[in-house]
Amino acid sequence: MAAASPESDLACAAGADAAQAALARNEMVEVEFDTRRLQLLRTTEDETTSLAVFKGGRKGTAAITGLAPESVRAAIDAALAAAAAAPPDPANQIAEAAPAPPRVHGPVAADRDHLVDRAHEHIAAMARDFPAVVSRNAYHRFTRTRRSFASSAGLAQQETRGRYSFWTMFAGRRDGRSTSLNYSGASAYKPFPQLIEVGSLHRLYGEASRSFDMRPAPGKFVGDVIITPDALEGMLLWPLARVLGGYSLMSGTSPYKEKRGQAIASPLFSLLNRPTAASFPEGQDFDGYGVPTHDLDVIRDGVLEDFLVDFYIAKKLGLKQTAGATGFVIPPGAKSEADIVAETTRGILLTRFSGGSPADNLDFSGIAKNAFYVEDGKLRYPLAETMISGNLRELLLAIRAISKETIDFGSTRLPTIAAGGVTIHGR
Amino acid sequence: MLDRLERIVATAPGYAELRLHRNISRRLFMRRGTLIENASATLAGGSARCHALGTFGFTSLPAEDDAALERVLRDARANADQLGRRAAYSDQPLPATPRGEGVWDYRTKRPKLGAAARVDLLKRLDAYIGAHCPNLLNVDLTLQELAIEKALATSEGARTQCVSPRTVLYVQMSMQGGDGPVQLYQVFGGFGEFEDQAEALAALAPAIDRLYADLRRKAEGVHPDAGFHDVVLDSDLAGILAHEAIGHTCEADLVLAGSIAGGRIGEQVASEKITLMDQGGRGFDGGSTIAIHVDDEGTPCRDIAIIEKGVLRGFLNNKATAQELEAEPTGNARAFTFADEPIVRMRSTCIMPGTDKLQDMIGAVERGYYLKRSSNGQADLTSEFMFGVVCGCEIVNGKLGRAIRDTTISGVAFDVLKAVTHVGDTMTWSGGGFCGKKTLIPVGMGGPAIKTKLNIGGR
Repeated sequence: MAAASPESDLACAAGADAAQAALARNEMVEVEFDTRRLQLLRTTEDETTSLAVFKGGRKGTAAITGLAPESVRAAIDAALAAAAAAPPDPANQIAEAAPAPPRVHGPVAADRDHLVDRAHEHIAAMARDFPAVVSRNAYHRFTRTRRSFASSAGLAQQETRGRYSFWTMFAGRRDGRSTSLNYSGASAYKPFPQLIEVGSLHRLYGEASRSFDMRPAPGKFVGDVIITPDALEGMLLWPLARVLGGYSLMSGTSPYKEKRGQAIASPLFSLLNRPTAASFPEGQDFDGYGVPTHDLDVIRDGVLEDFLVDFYIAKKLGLKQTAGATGFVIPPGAKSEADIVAETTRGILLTRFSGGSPADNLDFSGIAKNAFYVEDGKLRYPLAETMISGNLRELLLAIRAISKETIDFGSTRLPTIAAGGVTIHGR
Repeated sequence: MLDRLERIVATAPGYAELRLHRNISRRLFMRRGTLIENASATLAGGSARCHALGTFGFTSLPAEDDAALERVLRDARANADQLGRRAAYSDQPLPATPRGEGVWDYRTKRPKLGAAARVDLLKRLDAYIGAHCPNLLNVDLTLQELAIEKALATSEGARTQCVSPRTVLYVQMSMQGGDGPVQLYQVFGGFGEFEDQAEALAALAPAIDRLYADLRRKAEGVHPDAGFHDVVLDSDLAGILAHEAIGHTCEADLVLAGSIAGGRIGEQVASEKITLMDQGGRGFDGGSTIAIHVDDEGTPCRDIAIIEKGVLRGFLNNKATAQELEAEPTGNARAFTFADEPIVRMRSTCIMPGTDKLQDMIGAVERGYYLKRSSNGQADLTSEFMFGVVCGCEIVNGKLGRAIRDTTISGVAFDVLKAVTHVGDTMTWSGGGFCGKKTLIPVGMGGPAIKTKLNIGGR
């Protein structure tokens, strides 16, 4: 699409004051396999056109597959009908920003033989190195995504990202006994030399192999939780990003709404939004409003520096637009994870948190999955039927160590974090 | 449409499925009276899956014409051939099943309503809440509609078409508690298009009053005492218990991955009061929030008793897992979008109602919790499940006590079901359940209230 795309021109001709069109085209090749067999070779193409029309401060959107003229016409009609029914909102505007030249990241086409061969080798490698680990759903994939944006204000953007990814779900299985499920993966621009080394998988496969003799944590106590990168993303990062986002400011429910410039975490902790990081194939050069993304320090040395505010919220609340929300980095600390464990008197090492989604007050509770009981600086035994609970605001302030090792998942880069004050109880 | 699919799939040299698939959705999201999202989408395409040389090939395209269907069929077969040559497995054919045939169209028969009716509904509800529910920090109203249209023909002669719509409204309120914001939400609506649900959604005032009263109690509520407790799970929670605790554990792909349920068919795994089903159609009472009669491999959907009077009876299979387990396909192969291959998924999963009364269950608890509404959940091969609880209260000496804050409950499914002492006589289907296994997919979840023991998170 060029600036002022045919779709946005059509929308304006049909009666809109302004319009924007976003096109996302995905081409994917995927090999699905399990511990024993190659299962499926899947190739998909999809193309979604999203149209937004604006009229008198009213906004309506409609999405369709493809760009067939009759479908575009129907989508414009649907979007205009939706806008006509909507109440006016002065924040409903199209963005004005500097267009950037189209950018291409990563490979332009899949190496299909590579996808199949690495999957086949992974089956052999697992049988050799981790015979007690069973995976059922493993996906080795290449995806090429082209995102285009154009508006009636003349703003046009385009980016193309080709990347490889591997994701698998697995568990230990031996003599009729199973460990807890675990799952992990990562994406990268370059093909993976070995799938067994992707992200944190080698470590997790090893832990699954050592987790057959699970038992509950001893009683109920308040202790440390050492959160590994795999657990950190779901347990801490996404709930925190949500309450630091503009929509939580709009709802008035963010516990941090008055905390900008104040310490909300341990000085050891920073949270950086890096949507265009060179190692993040899941990043974005521009957001859904066509505005270029840029780096933002959200929390620096424990101090809340800024909120994640998009174009709409900026207009709605009279704030400065700050960043696109994709791509987060928690910088490493100075200690090794082994040293952090060695310094722990009593607590758990957590690889997966299986819990209810924390509400905006950031209370959390859930099961410590794929976890180990830690006492007097040593991993003692794998845990079963053990729950943890606490509050993420308090946990952020109670961080006592961050590991120097990090895992790059392709959309986030995260260390291991240790914090105290968490209620731990085994059945 | 079916004639076209049937004609093209007949050209495939071996096993093949050919599907046309449309997901038609609409989403309105209002926060504090501001309509932030006002969107519709029609995402459609064709796909094919073939089986050759012991492996599958799948291809999808964002188009529905004959040329696209011919191409997906050709490319899917080429994919299967490429993988099959690399794998060099024996070419064992998939198990044949009865041909799934029939057309089910659940689109509304009522006059269609436009965008204005939907926006007006949200505005009226927001105004009602503003007038009757003071001291709220925030109100979110989300209207979500999804109609899934599928047409399928297979090389085995299946020929079927179905349109399954669902309309749900999420109402969430927040107020300030002593230690930060406290939220509570409830899901309304269910099977059918907006026109089928509009009347009920417009009459939500009493339910909103109850939701607000629950939120006020929750804002003054306490954290549960972390530990193992007697609990009464309201019927609103029974569905997610059936889905997370047992349903996933008995999906045959997870059985093959090492689920604890594997090899236990015929064992007593639950109280004799427990019968747990995964059902086709719209569930045993016609009340489920999804409709599925033939799965996406063309297999007619059979009702499966996973647990019958406490005894583990069956697993949920597609053709590939049935082949590995030497079982019968059950009609559980489902795909969410045109670009997804069918995998083993639940349909309408429920604990069958018993004969006990909710008040008797609560009265039988000396010290424990009555848990009323859930949020997200997760399963495990070990059958140790969890799900979030957003609304509940203490039970002290058989009487309801203080409200509790958000928590998570967990347990080992078979232990929890063995500890069941009461099964209620009133059935509830959850309004808007989605399952997230590789892809999202709408599922039906239901059941009655039960009394059991499990772990509860807290302080």
